Amino acid sequence: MIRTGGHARSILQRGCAQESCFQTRGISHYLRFFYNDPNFLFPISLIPKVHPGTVYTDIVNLDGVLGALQRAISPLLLRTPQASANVVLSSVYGPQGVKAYGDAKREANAAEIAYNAAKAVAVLARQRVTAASSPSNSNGEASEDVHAAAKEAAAQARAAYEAWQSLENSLPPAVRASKLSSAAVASAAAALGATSKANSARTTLMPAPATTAAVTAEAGDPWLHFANGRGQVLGPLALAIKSTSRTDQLARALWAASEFALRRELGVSSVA
Amino acid sequence: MDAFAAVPVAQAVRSAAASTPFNSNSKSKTRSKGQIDLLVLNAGYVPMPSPSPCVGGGWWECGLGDMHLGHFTFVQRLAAEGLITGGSGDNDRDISAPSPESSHAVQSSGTTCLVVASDIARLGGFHSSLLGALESAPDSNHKRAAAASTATANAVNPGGEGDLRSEVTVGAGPYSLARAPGILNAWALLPDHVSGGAYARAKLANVLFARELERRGIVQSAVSVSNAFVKLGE
Repeated sequence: MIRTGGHARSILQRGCAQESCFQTRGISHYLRFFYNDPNFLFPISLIPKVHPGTVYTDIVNLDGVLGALQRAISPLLLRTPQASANVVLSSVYGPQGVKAYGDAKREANAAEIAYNAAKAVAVLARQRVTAASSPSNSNGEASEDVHAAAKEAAAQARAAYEAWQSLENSLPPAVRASKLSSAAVASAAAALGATSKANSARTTLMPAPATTAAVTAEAGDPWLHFANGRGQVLGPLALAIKSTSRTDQLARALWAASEFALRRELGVSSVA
Repeated sequence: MDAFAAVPVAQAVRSAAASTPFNSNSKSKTRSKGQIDLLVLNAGYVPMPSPSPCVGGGWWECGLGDMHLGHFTFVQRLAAEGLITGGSGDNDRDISAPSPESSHAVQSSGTTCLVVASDIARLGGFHSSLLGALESAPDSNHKRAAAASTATANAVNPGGEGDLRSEVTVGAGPYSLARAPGILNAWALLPDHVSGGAYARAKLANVLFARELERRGIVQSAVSVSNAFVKLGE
């Protein structure tokens, strides 16, 4: 695999250790809970090829963020054989983000909040870029082993993608929602009446256990599935199956609220 | 007022990008020297419940504030500096259908953005008042889309920010499908005192943010990703 440098790994590990990341605790339960399929697999290296804005999962590579970076770099390196790719990791970790956010909040200074949040992001971004430059030679070019590793990784990704695509194409539309999972997932989709929306379901990759479908179906509202009087929970299948206009509406609302917050508190207009 | 005047965010990133060897031998004819090809927006911590300093106050709840609004602010700044670019500029396009450019590895000159989310986003949710925020959006289509939810939203918060300051979603309270009958008690998987509701919402925000980034053409391609569990140690 591509070396990403010990510094990035160190940051990752330190940050997660400090913030009580989930680590490996209960992972088997987690996988059963969410996927009902311990063999569920999707190669994260296909990120540039697949549908945007949807959650993808790689349960094989447990190196998490670092693995994601490695795989994401590969196509960039292949795209530009001379290894010209600006890679930036921006990150918000608790020690920086929480402290900055909390300090600013105590000062009741809204501008400081965004200031510090952005600053925390920027600091780590700079470090990450430096770390990402490690697999290079003295001329500033990516080393040969990086090229070889990237090529190999891309080849593996391509093979996996073709296999996945072949499998998908062999399935009838109503079943495609289940992707690589079991018939229980198809039942879950049917329980929500998702069969008729197979086209939207086809773009997703996340099966969910039938028990979840039963709960959400009882709620009656296919989008805001689980109302408990204290707010509404967007159910697990909302993103997995209902990946259509309502999710986008929520995305637009969040964007608008974020713009509103910046404009109101900072006097800064959105530029994008 | 420019709250960013003293914040060298874009400058730091540009300098760092320019100094990396990955950039020093560019043969690209379409990308500017400082442009970011791959932007990874990572946010990984679990907001803790009271009496954490995250709780209360007049600003957004800290998990959402840091893990979403922090990146939102950051991206806005990068876009303003021209450090990230979209591809086709096809604003407001339907991203529900696979696009030709997304069917192959990265090929264009725009920025690819990877937003690190989590599967726990599926346990996240927003208060319906959030939809009221669309009322302030200039796009009339957005307004129409929000019309059906306006009554509910305004009843809670006319600004569309109800619950964004931790009015509801904070701590590890009963705000999750994990409490629903027939569902494994997911809290058993989490460390003590974890604010699952707030964390899940922040991660859902990451997913939604990715969708909007691409839809608006701010970057060439944006995806959210669940990186699964992070393996600590070697």
